[in-house]
Amino acid sequence: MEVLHSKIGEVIKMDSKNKIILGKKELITALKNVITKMDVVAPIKGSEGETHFQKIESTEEIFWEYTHDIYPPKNFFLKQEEDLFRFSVNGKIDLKEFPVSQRKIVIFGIRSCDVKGLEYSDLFFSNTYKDNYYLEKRKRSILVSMACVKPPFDNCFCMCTNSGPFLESGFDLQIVDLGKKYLINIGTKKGEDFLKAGKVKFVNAGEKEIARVEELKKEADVYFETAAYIAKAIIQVTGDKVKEELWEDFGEACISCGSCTHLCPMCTCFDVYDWLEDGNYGVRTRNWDSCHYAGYTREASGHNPRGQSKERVKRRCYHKLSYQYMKINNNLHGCVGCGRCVIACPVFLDIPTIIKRIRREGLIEKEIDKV
Amino acid sequence: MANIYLPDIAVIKDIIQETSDTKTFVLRFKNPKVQKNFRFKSGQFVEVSVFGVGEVPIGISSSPTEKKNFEITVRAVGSVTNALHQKKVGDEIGIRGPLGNNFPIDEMKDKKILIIGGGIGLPPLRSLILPMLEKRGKFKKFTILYGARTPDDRVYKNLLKKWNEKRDVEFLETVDVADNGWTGNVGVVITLFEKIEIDPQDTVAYTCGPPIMIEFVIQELLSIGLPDDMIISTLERYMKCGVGKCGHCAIGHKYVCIDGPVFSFKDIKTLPEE
Repeated sequence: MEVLHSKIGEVIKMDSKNKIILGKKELITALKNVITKMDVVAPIKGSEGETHFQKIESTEEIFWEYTHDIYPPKNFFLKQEEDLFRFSVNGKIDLKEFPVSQRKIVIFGIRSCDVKGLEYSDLFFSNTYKDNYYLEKRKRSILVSMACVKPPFDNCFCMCTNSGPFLESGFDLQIVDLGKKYLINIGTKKGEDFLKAGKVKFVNAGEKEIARVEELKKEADVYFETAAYIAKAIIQVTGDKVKEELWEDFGEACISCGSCTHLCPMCTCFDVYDWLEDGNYGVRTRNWDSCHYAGYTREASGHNPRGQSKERVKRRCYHKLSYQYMKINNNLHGCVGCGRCVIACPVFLDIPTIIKRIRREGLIEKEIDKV
Repeated sequence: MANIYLPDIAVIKDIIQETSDTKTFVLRFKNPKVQKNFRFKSGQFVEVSVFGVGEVPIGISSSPTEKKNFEITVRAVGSVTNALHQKKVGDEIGIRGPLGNNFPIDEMKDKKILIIGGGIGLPPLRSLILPMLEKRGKFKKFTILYGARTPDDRVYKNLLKKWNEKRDVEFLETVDVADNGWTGNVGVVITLFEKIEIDPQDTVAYTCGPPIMIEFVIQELLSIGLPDDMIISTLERYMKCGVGKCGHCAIGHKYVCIDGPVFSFKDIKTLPEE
């Protein structure tokens, strides 16, 4: 994991020296100073009490009792719709790239699962060909994560996917709320940059405070869903041991709406298209796509290798749950247990449900004895 | 950071009408430096942009040893390929590439070569056949089988004639539906297998064509006894970015655009889906 993060931001070895204590007022002061120099994205309160992560102008906007944003933070790096370049087709062709911003962007309060989601996406976008649009934004971003002392959603299951509620890596800074003050883990040089820009004084954490964090970790474990048993499902999906009837059942239930893929912090599929502003000028754009859409694999000839819903559900499960994908992604799971698909899926075909059903009723009969 | 999605501009130097719906475009990069650095291997593809319409992956059909220009042979099927067919000599298009892996050639020295192409699957194989025939002495028996829908749908008609006249190449072709002038074979491409001798111990087979043809060809080759790693095929998938990011062409944990489009049957067997 450190190998990759050295590309995105230089990693600092985790030890007690990199654990500091900051007062609650001091953190706000730090943010006030940072806002003058960097774009700060933080949780704000929506009209119905829900949480949204948005760029803020003032620390007053921050919703401190925030839960979890239904939208993952991927939109800040892989935008739902992103212009790639302009072209003019008036006579000779001329291509123009858009100017790249140099301004740093802080994602303040990002949850552990979403940090892991970005870590996975970082690997994906930097392997073989380097996706300049994604990586450029990631390189100038600083992730200030908030460890989850209690689950922000009812449906959180990061315990099963090894992506929370507290993190050991992936963040630039990790904040642990100790009640009256914060303990902050400094994970990278970029995290130090944030503290420098914040211009606040802090002290190193003492033994007591570090011990308190360990207690909080243990307490948090109790609150989180642990029933997803992802490892067992991974073995079965990887070995193609799930019976066809179960995929058919899933396929019948799924309405191919794509909500789960759009809200998944690690789904990164996109479509690319051109549009002409007038006859002569246009933009090439990419936007989120979904492997659940029937048109996703349809070729110009009409041939469609995944024309049926059950094939598409199987495809997505394979991407999320197979060991082959884990192997090429530093053993990170293809699911970070954020629980968004549980809220989004209109037919209750979310990842924890799929995992449970594969485990309980998915096995081909001759395989049952072996498990 | 280099922009992996930004094409280079290429100029259409010539257009050859192959069939009623298929044209070969002879291309050269506008910037001579780009043309000079454009080194590809047999079986690789490029992403072709018709700006304002979109981008499509097309296999390169010319020989890698030809450095001045390169060629693509395109059937007008979708919106981009139809728009490309409207282009004239001198028009500019966008090219990204070369992309993807390639057909193994050097590894197959001293082997008997069997190439099976179907319809618009012959163009990528042409980028393999041409350099192989330049080094004809390095290979043993050389057989090319080609199947097309009708006699008119055959691409590279002049080249086919040349292959037919070559003494050191065994060339057989067939059409699904004959017309009045056709005196050759009629039937799908695997019906040609009974007309040739295949030595399963010493042959490597390369195939490219529509998915259904490839499926039958592989079954036939396996029944003859060719080892899995001596059956080399291309896989076809809807593709957008060509650089392993957009996700469309994924099969299992492989991406046709970066891990393919060339796969041996040994690799294909390990793909979990479909």
